[in-house]
Amino acid sequence: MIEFKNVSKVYSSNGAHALDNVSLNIEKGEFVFIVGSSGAGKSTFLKLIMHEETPTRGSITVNDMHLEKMKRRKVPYLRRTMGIVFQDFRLISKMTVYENVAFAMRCVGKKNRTIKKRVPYILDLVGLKDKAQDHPSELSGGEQQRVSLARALVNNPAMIIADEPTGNIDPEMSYEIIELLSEINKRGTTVLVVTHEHELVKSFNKRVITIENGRVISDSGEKETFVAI
Amino acid sequence: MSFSSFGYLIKEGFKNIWNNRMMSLASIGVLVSCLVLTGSAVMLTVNVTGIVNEVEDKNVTTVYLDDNISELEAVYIGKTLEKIDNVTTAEFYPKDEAISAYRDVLGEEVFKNMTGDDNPLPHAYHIIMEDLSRYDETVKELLKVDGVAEVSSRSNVAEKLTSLSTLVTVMSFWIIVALAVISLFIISNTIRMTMFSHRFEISIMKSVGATNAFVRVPFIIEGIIIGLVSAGISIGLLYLLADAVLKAAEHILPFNYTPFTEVMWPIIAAFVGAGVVVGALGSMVSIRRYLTHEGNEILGW
Repeated sequence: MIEFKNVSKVYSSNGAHALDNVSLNIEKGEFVFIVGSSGAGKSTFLKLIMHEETPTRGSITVNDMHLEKMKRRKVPYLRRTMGIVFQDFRLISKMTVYENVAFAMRCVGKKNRTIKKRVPYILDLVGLKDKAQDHPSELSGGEQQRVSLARALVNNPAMIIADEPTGNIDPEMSYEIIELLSEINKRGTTVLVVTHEHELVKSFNKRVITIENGRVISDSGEKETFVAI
Repeated sequence: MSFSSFGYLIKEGFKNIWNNRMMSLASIGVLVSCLVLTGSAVMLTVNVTGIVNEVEDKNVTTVYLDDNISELEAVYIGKTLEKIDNVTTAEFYPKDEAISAYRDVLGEEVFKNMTGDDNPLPHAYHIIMEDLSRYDETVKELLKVDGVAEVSSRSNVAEKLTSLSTLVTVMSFWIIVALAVISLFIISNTIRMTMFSHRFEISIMKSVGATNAFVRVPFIIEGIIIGLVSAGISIGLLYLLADAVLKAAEHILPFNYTPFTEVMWPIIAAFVGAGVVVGALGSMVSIRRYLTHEGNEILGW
C-alpha cells in the first residue's frame, strides 16, 4: 500500500533535513499511528505520500503508483485513492454539511444521481444524518471533524490519511473520532493517523511508528522480515 | 466530463460572477468602453471610406483639348483617353455645350456671336478616375495623349479626404489593438480576484483529486460570460450612439452615411468572438498560479 525505500527529503529553501533515509512498509488494511513531536518530520512524511512534495532521494510507492517520477497530470488520480482529514477540518463555511460532502464527489465528476444516493449513506455512517442541512459553524468540533471524515470517505478511497484529526477537538470527542476511524478500518480501508497525543495512541492497540528528527526510531508493528533487511 | 459535471461547472461560473459582482461589474464596464470605442473606430473608418468613395465618384476631372481640334478628331482622342489605366469613363463635352452652359449662367448677350466656328472654347472630356490616390500619375498619362492641352486641377476636398481615410484606418487599427490588450489585462485581473477568494475551495478540490481542467472550467466560464455580457451591452450602445451621431452629421454634411445596421452583423460576430477569446484567455492566464501549487501553498499558509 505505502512503501518508502531509503527516502530522504531536504528542503532546498532552508537546507533542513526533514526526513533522513526512511524505509517503511504499510500493508493494505492496516491501522497505523504516526507519532512524533512537532518538526520531527511527520508533515513531510504526509506531503510525500500525497505528492505535495517529491523526495530528494529514495523511492516511494503508494497504491501501486511510483511517486518519485509521477507526472503532474497523474497526481489527481493518486489523490482519488486517498481520503484526507485535516486538523482544521477544512470545511467550506457557506456550504451545508450535505454540500460539503457532495462537493468531493462533484470534484471527481460523479453523476448527480450517484451523489444523491451516496452522500446520505456516508452521513449516516458517521452519525450526522440529522445534521445534513446544517452549516459547519452550527456544529461542534467533533461533528465538524466527522463531516471532514465523511468527505474523505465519500469517494470510497483505499486509504484514509488523517493529519492530527483530534488536534482541535476535546479529548472525549477525540476518542470517538479514532473509534470511527477504527470502524472504517474494519471495513477494509487502510487508515493512517498522524498525531502527537500519546495518551490517545496508548488506548488503542494499533501499530505505532515514531518519527524523531527525520528518522523512524520505533515501529511497533514492523514485520520480522523487514527487520532482517 | 459527464453532463452532471458540466451543468454544475456552468452554475459555478455564474455563481462566481454574482459573488464577485462589484469586480465583475467593473470589468464589464471597462470591457464595454473598450468595445464601444472599437465599434466607433470601425464605424468611423467605414463612413470616412464611404464618403471618400462618394466624393471620388462625383469628382470629375476635365481634360481640355487643343483649340484647333475638330469634333471628329476629338472623338478619336476620346477613345485613347478611355484606354488609359485608372480612367473609368471619358465623357465627351463639346464646345457648343460648354458655351451654352456659360450662356445660361452669364446671359444670352455676352456670348451672342460665339457660336459655331466662332466659339473660342476648346472641346473637352469629363473623366472619372477609379482611384483618386493615383491622380498625379494618371494626369501625366493624360497629358501624353496627342491633342490634349490641359487637365483641370484636382479638387482639394478629395485630396484631404483620401489622406484622412488612411489616417483613420491606421489609427483605428492601433486603437483596437491597444484596447484588446487592456481588456485582456482587466479580465485576467478580475478572474485572479475570484480565484483568490476561492483559493480555499481550490485547495480542497485538489486534495480530493479534481483534475486541473475541472478546477479551471468555472473560471473560464466566468471570463466568457463577462465577455459575452459586455459584447451585448456594447452592441446595444453602439446601435443607439451611431444612429444619433449619424443623424446629427447628416444635418451638417449631407452624405450617404453607412448606418450601423448595415455593418452590424460582422461587428456582433467580432464582439462575441472577442468576448469569448478575451474571457477565456484572460482567465487561463490567471489560473496558472493556482494549478502549479499544491496544498497549503495555495492558501499561503
